[in-house]
Amino acid sequence: MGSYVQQVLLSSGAGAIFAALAIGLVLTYRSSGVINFAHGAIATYVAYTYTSLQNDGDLPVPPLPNPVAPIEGIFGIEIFDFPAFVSMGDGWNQWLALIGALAVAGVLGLVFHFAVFRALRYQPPLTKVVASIGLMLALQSAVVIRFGGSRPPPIQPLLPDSVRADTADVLGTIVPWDRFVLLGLTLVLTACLWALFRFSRFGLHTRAAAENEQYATLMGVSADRQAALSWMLATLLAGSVGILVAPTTSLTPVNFTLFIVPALGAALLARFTSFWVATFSAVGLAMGQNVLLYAEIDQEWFPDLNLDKVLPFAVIVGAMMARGQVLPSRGAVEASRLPPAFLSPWRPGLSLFWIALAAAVIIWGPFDYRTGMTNSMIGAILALSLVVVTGYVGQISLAQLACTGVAAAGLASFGTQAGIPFPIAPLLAALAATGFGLVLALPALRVRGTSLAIVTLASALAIDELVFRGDGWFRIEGVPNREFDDPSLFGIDFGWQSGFPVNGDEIPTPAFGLFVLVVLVLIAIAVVRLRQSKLGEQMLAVRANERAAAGAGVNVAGIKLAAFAIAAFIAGIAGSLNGYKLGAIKIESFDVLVNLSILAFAYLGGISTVTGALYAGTLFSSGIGVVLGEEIVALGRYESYAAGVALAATAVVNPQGIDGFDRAQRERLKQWWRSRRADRVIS
Amino acid sequence: MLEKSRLLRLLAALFVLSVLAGACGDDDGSGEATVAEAVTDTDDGSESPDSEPERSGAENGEEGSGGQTDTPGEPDPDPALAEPIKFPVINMEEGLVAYPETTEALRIMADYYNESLNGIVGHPIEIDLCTAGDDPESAQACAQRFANDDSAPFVFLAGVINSAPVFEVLGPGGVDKPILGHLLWDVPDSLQPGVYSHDPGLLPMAYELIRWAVEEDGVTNLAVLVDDSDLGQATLSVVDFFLAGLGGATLTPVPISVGQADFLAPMTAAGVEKADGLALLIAESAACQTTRDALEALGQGDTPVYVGDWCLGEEFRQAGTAEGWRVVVGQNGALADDPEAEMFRQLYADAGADAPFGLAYSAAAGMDFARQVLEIAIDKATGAIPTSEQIHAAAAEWSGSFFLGPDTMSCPGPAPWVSTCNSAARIVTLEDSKWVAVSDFNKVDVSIFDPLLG
Repeated sequence: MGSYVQQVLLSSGAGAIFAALAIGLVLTYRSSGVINFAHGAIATYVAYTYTSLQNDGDLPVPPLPNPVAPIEGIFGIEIFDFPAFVSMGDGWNQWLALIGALAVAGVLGLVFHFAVFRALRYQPPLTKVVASIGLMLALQSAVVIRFGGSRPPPIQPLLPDSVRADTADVLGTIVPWDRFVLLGLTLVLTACLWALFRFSRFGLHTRAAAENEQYATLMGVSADRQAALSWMLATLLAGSVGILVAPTTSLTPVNFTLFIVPALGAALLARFTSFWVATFSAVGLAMGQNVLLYAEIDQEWFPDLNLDKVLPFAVIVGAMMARGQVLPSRGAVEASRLPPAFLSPWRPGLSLFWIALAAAVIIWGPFDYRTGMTNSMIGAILALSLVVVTGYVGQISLAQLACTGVAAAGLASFGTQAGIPFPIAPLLAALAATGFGLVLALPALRVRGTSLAIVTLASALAIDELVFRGDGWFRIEGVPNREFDDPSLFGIDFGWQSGFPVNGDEIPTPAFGLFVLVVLVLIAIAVVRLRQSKLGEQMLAVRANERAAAGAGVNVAGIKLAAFAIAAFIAGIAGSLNGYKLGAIKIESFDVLVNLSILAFAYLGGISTVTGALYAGTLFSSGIGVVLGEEIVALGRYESYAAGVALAATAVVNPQGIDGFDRAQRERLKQWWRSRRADRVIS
Repeated sequence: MLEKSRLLRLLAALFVLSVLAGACGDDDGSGEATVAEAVTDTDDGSESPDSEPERSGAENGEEGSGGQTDTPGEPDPDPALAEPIKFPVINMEEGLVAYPETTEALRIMADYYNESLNGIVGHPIEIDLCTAGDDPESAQACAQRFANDDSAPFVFLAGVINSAPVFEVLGPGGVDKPILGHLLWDVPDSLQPGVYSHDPGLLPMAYELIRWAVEEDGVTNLAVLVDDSDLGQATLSVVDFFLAGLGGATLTPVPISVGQADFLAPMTAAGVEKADGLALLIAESAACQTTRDALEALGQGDTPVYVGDWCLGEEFRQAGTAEGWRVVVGQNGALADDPEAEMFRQLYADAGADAPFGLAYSAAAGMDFARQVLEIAIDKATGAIPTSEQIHAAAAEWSGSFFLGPDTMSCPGPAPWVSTCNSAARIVTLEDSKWVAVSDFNKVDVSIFDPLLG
């Protein structure tokens, strides 16, 4: 029993970390309505800045656009470069470094507000989620570009050695004092934020703006200024947490981003409203995780299922299912909706042209183009699954990649191991993914919006721990790697090295690419038909207004389940194709952070249309868009950074995605042409 | 309002465009290469391929691999044949997990070979770098690119975690080209035909570390923090499997995920307070300092700690993190008084680069190993650029030593551990901020791991 008490007491450090991040998330949401996935990345960037200032006196400069780079590129000359670091003398005193790093944090907060989130105030939650994912990617990449991804910097702890070296004996358990100090500081911060929002003019105004922005504005409250100050406060908080706890945990480019999941769970339990509930929930989560971890080791009867890691998922889903509440909205003047799900008239000529062009690239294109096209087509299929679940029904799913993993693992089990032939094996695998999709859909019956995004993110984590690492057909982790036989039907092989009359001596041969093209065309037609069908209309009705749809006789729960199931099936097909392409899969391919990027790129392409999914496919990792981009400018290690910046910028400039922008430009062109013709007729 | 909105959009579009373009500007001066754009390193014409070698063969051996190599007889380069030899490299540089230090080490070694040893048997080395991200797609795209490249008879796999999709392309089931220099990150890597690695890989190193703890240091109760991944599970299976045979010591493993907020709980759950040793089997260098801090926070700073080579970083040496710890090394243990390591550091200093660390030593070892294999292959090709088959044959024939590595190794290893050319590992420790060897290299018979494959 004593050891369990020890585990509870020792959770104060982890609890403090989760809590400090959770109250930062609550602060940002209360003041600007944004669930900030970049919160952990901000903590990371500021902590790295602190170490750089302290160790070398160097202030890192984020990669900045070089305005004369095109001229330099064309003429092969070097005119100007931004420095990577600004040298500010030798290593700074730790307190000076703290002030310097927090100043950077404050500037980041203001930049994020004025450059990104201010413009997104009236955009739907998904747009804000995408922008924050973009910023997360950009900040993480900036850290890797400036500091490297594999070398942790030495960090001088802020807490004095006397505190760090001292231990307390509590109920016969040795607990380092610094963990209590961290927890104490977090409680003080929580109290300060609570008091700030409860008693100060600032808090009153922020609450007023959150309750009813229009009314608050009439009363002379500047919601914009409140949000700017709150963003600055939130980034200062994130930076302080990063600097303070980096010596306790490890400082790597991704660690703090991973802590966001339990922090989100705690914030969700607090409905992104109560600082105290968020703090205590976070500490409770840490305690629960430690106790479960110890129980797995201490008790033989206890299932060895990594339950400590699944706990945040269980808490999040359990709480949301029990309460079934959406997050309180910010009372914005008018929130816009997801991009419209256009239904373009069927133009067979144009469609055939694009299909023929894709086939031509696959058959005759240079190697990079062939590979890029195949990657893009598989990516487009995955994006189509998001079109169904998010674009048509408005359910934000961050677990589609997990469905691809289930199918890929299933294909290895059913096909390679059990010997079930093609195409039965991939269809079975996709059906298995559908089963998981239905399970994922259960929370969606009670939860929606950004809450659902968090629930599905936690679900993806749970699938990772329980399914991919557990025993069974869908296990991915293990020795040897899961492998795949080439697809073959009626004696015709269409694997990536199957023979083909043209370019058959180079890999990938066109056979596999054409196979993927056929699958993509079939699925795209199916999704278009879905949009045209009565089911599609009901899906859009649910997206527009669930209550109104229910009032009109639509079975909302059934529609949601159907959408999740169809989307999971499509994602499963993408997973099987990916398995055939790679020949071997590893668990890292289905990482939670990759999940976030998938949704963000699908949104960037256009989340509500088939065309948007095709655009999104070009943007995915090693896709044709990336290959073409490399022809113009070799991004190299700047690729992730540029993608992050582009995501955030697109969310701001063109929240309808590339497809929406494309349609708007075409419409504008048509109007211009009509008006020109009309002028001619008149004249 | 409309004008403001348009201006905002214009500015944002310009910003995005210039970010994209700015990436081209490479604001910190380091070079880039991608799938689309290969970068080649030659001796930039300062020394033509047919220039007179300045050193004798004996000198070559002495400087090239610290006097340990048994360089085969080098025919005088025929001017007609001494064309550059392409050195195709795949390295992870574009994702959140990136190893640019590997490329830097390879470039510095290539420059050294070109300038001081006249390349490889007179053929100047041209590094053809294909950078991958931390995703399997880009690693596989690089593999496919080199598979299609007839002038690339082999591939040097530097820091690539996603090796399985690469093996699908370049292995016997695809376009069979020898893979040199690969770090054996995972167990399947050690079983892959056609891979010739200077790295002992996970299992021999884990075995040697635990053997040392139990047999040499007499540890009977070992707390183990192990990576919650394939890697960790494989390591743990070795530890578990052999502990019974190593004196009946008990161990308490606790899995640690990436992003563990605090090490105190798992450490105490593993029973570190009662244990007489702690093994840290987490391939994450940031965990080294965290472990040290957590041990001291618990008042267990004197606990003997056994770790892998990821705690060899210069920063840990300077900070004294690993002071007194037992660190198992394969070919990357750059000891304080090691003349090869000193030579390598000097090369870095001459190149104006920061001091080498971590994977840089391993990359240098891999390149030295590859160079020796290629020397034999070129000899087989009578001075011409060898074919894939000749490189396969040369690797199978090669025996000797390489940069910072143990003596007398050969390829391939016993079936099914065919990728294991070097199965020797040794223990080093940090004493007064200097890495010193605790033991000589111990060659592990990898066939003892056969039962682990089920």
